[in-house]
Amino acid sequence: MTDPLDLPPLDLPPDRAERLRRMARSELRRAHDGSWADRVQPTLCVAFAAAFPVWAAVVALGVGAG
Amino acid sequence: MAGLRAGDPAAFDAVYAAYRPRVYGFLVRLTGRRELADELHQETWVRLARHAPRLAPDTRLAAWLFTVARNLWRSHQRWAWLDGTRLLELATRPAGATPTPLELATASESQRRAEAAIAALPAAYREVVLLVVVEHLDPAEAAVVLGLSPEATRQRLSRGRAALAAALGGAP
Repeated sequence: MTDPLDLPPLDLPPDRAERLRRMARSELRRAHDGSWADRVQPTLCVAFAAAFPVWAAVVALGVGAG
Repeated sequence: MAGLRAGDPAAFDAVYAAYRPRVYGFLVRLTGRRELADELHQETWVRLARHAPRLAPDTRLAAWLFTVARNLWRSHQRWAWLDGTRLLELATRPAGATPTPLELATASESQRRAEAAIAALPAAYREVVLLVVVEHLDPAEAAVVLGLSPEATRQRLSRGRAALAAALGGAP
């Protein structure tokens, strides 16, 4: 007799639901941008090193010294 | 799921619209405190947004969201036990979420009784009853959310249902 239970829906008031949606969407955008940069940056570094090995060595020495 | 993983805002909106009331209702009934449910609910959605690019393509979103929400509540409980102020607050508050005037107006007498009976269940039974009986998760999915074996989940659900039926005045 207890299955299923039909309980009244509970939800956030519309203004707070909208505020949370906006906040979560900006987190989504930030997370996606970060994820994209994490994937692309190593590829760009390798391509740069292959095309300009001397400059890549100079940059690497500079980063190491810094 | 592909849209969500790719950071598509429209895909996120669709997920948010579909699951927000379920996750919020689960947390309000699980915690018995609307302001705490608000806090945990917000954190659940922020975590989904942050983890979206790393979600597996076959992720079951309902189970994922309920797992995060439930784990946040468990963490909060552990932390509350270490905090004397919160412990006192918990001890002096009545069990059960305070319904809003709209909810009071729309809920039937049997629904109000069911809400009270669920709020009075021990936490271990309340969470499995909420997941399976109220949110209609498959028991196997509920087992994943609760971090239990399917057999342990089945037993806990059976006892929870029996306790609920007894509280509502009927046989299990």
